[in-house]
Amino acid sequence: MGLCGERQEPVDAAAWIDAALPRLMGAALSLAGHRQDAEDLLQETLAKVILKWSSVNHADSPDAYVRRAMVNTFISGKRRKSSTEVVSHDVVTAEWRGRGQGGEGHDTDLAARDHMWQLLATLPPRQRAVLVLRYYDDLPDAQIAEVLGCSAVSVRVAAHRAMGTLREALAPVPSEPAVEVAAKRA
Amino acid sequence: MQSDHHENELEDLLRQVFEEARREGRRDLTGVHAAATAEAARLRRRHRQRVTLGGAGGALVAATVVAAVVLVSGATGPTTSRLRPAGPTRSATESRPAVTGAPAPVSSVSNGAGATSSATPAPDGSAYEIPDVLPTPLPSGLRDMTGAMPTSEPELMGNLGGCNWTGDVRKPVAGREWQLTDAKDSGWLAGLSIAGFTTGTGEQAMKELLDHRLECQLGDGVEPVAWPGKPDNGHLLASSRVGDGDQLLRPRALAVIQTGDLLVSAFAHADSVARARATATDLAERAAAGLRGFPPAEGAALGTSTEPPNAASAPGVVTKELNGWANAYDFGDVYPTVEQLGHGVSYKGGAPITGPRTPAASGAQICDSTAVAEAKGETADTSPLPIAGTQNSAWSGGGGANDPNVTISVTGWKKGTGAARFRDLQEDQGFCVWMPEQSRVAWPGADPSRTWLSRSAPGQVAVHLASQRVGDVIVSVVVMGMPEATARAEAIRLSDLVAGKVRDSGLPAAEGK
Repeated sequence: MGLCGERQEPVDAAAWIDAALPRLMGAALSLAGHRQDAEDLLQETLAKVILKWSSVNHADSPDAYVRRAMVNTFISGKRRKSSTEVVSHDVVTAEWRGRGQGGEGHDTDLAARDHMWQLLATLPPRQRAVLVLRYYDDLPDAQIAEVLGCSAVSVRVAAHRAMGTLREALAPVPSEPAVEVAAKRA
Repeated sequence: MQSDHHENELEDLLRQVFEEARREGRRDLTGVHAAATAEAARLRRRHRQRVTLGGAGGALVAATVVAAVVLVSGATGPTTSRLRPAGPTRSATESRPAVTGAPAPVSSVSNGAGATSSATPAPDGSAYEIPDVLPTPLPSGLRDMTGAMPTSEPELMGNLGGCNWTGDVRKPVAGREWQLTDAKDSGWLAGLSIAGFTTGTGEQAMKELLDHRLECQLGDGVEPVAWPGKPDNGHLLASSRVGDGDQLLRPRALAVIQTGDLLVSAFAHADSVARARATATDLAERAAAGLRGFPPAEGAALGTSTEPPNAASAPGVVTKELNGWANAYDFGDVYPTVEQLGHGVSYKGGAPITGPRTPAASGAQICDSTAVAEAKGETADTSPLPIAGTQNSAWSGGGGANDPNVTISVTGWKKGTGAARFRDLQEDQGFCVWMPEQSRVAWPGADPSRTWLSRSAPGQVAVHLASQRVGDVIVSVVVMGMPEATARAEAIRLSDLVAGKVRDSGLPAAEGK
């Protein structure tokens, strides 16, 4: 599935970006988790696209190029900040469990989604990228492997790890006492 | 099946979450395109400039913007700990039967447990396939969740930490792992991971793991402990701290064994640290035993294992630099006790967060390499980082802005650079800058070149900072949520207290040594 449909013929960068922007922003949000970081990620990716537009435009699939550029930018950016911005998986999980796993009905859904955003932030960037490419872009593993420059087996391993981590975090632990959550100041 | 049901629910939830992102992506995109165009123009200018200057022409990709690095002071961060247990150095291969014959690649091999492995390079580019040595029976209560999974990026820290095999670092030539869960399919509760390194480099890889030079780190709240009966450098046992009052972390343990050119790692979560340790060591030991006879486990070549995947992985190469997660030294306990803190605050976030990227004034600074680099007209911020750091926060109530709140950070800098780095702090330079903006106020009786007292600008949340330099160490205390005069006095009092502990610690850095 293309970012903005199949390319028919060469187009100019501005037109292509305008058409692709909403979907690209959604992808950037899925990767980055919040708006400011997503805008930074998208801006950096698009700057590369603009600079290389002549080759992007002549590539078989500009969508694939841009997707790869965004994911690589995300992963390398995360690596650079890996030890300065870390969301504690344990804290997020404990917070969820401490909350009794949401309220009821609509609140529960909201809480679940909100919690999922937090949990996604705790995943290593490569695992998160795999989930985004699978469940946002609906790409098959072979294509995800192409984007990430690894084997399909590695993709499945990363997906297994990510889903395992999420499952564990979401699993009910009735015997565990609710704990006071470290509410760091904003 | 129950697990399929859970899997579907999880997938549905992920799709819902990403659907939110898709909807959100359609909202207000004003300026994104323009900003990207401006950024491209800036990069193009910089590129031309570099080419003109005869610099790194063509290094356009390298000149791309460095992503924002934001450290929200007081937020959680990676715990680092030196992994070297006390004890003599020993090659784990010494206890194995000698391997006879030339260590040449073979076409197929059968290990002692009867499992066979192909020596043909695996489809994912691995040098060989590691046999399925998942112990049977599994420790009580565990079941195999995934089967044997080949991987080029084995996660030696399980889910107790992480490895980063990218870049020019020592990396494995083969890997395999297994994820285990319980009968209720509660998630990734235990696992086994095996990494094979270039022939002849297994001992060095283990040494570097223990010495924090391999790009693997343990996560928060996990630290190396003695492995009874294994006081050598072929073994690593780490587990969550016992009795530190940290209720957020479930007991867990990690055991790593070096056998030839393989590192065999197992981790487990359990209801007690002792049980987690027992499970992890049992898994690792039985898997290592299952590898007997497998050439790489005996230090012999297999497949393409003699071909290092990069220069850093070649035999004879010693990774000298500590990885970016490691403190060059430990400060010991330099924190005030809860009684000394007073005001009903306590360390509710658990153990201190350590690591060399600690801000000099955590709680009053933000670290943003993009902004700092841009301000200097550079591609990437090259400000010196601390070589050691520790930070912790204590608060009362829920830790809200109006609750009394103390953040302490202690950073160690390269020998002889403490004064310059303290000037950076005073002049709002360096890899972190004020957040919120600070205005200096008088610190009666203190040497102004070695101390700093400030308050955030009017109209901003009241952040009071007292910093002082002790040799090449900078001590900072930020106080919030207290009346003005009290907050200032407490910042001074606590910074004096911590500085005193640093001085008394005998740490050479505290004397500029």
